[in-house]
Amino acid sequence: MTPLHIVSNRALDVVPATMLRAPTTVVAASLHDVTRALTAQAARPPSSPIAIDLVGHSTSAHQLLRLGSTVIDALDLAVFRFFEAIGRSGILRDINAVCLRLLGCETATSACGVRTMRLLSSVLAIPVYGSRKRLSRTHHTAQGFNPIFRHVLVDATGDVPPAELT
Amino acid sequence: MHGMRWVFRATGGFVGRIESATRIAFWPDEPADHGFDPSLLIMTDLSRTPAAAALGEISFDAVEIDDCYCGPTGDLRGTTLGPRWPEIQVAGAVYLEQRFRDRLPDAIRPALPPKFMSGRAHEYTTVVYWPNADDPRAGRRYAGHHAELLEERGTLARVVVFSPGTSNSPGAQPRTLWVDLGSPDDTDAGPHSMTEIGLGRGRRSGALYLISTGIPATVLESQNAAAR
Repeated sequence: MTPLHIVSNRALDVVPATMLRAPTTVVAASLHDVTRALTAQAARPPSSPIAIDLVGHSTSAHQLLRLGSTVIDALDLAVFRFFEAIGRSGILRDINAVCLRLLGCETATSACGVRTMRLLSSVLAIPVYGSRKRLSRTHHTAQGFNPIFRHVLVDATGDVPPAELT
Repeated sequence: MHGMRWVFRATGGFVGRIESATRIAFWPDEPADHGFDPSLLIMTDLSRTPAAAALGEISFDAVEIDDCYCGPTGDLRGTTLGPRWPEIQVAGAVYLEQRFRDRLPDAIRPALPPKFMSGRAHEYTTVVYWPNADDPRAGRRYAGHHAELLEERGTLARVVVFSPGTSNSPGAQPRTLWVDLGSPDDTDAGPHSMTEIGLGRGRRSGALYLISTGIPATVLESQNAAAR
């Protein structure tokens, strides 16, 4: 599976430089850069299934992923509407996206984080995964999130992603 | 523009019917006590909130309840029944907008303080200021507390503050703190403030509205982008 990396401009230290240089990596200053990344991906030739990886630090209080200036909190109506619009647009189907991964420290551990994963999954109609553990550069390679760490990712029900989604 | 704010009154809520992703009916009191009487249900729409108004999805006057949002420790705050399906809980809190609440028939309008709850009405009250107003309180939420004034130095005041709902409880353990009664960063200071104590108002005991949270920055940014 090919990941599309959308890396927070405030967390460039947590991924290898080789990954940052990959053509499938977009550095995001805010949530709006997700749209830019998805549009760019849609312009490429059809690919194998892709995972959309949002990579950043998480907030200290709620362990919610921070992408540039945006905290991915689905209880924030503007954030929810943003993802709802992506879900409605059909672009995820066009780019063959099969999951969204919130790759920040412990993004699947707090009630807020799990709630956000549930809500995003409900509007995007694809599985959403977060991390049970703290993440660092060692969890990534030039190709993105290292599949040998699949076991640290879970969905809102606590299930680890199947092998074909890593 | 004191009219450009929403005042919310808290009640308990037990979901009795779900009609859509956001439209529900709830009982403000324990439904087993009245045999789950459907005539006592209150209809509301969980999407009719200040954030929706700030985004321009609904009008200022269409707000019915306060938002559901994350508290500082990760707990749910505001209308904790939830924001929409599938995140709806069977029981929780509902913050009804005062004008919406006033329009409810007497038979179903929730008690304030809520039935079987202690404290005073202002301990179950929050206020959110319309973000478009030329007011330093714009976009901010303040929560009502019961407080007693101990000392004033200019606008600074040393106050005893009770946790909401505990001011007349025998075991209450209030905190003593300094607040700036003249600063909207601390309290709802400004025209038509709902705070009752200090600043020459002649009250040493009463409501104190302390800063709580606000309409999310992302919502305000979306609003500003739309305005441009």
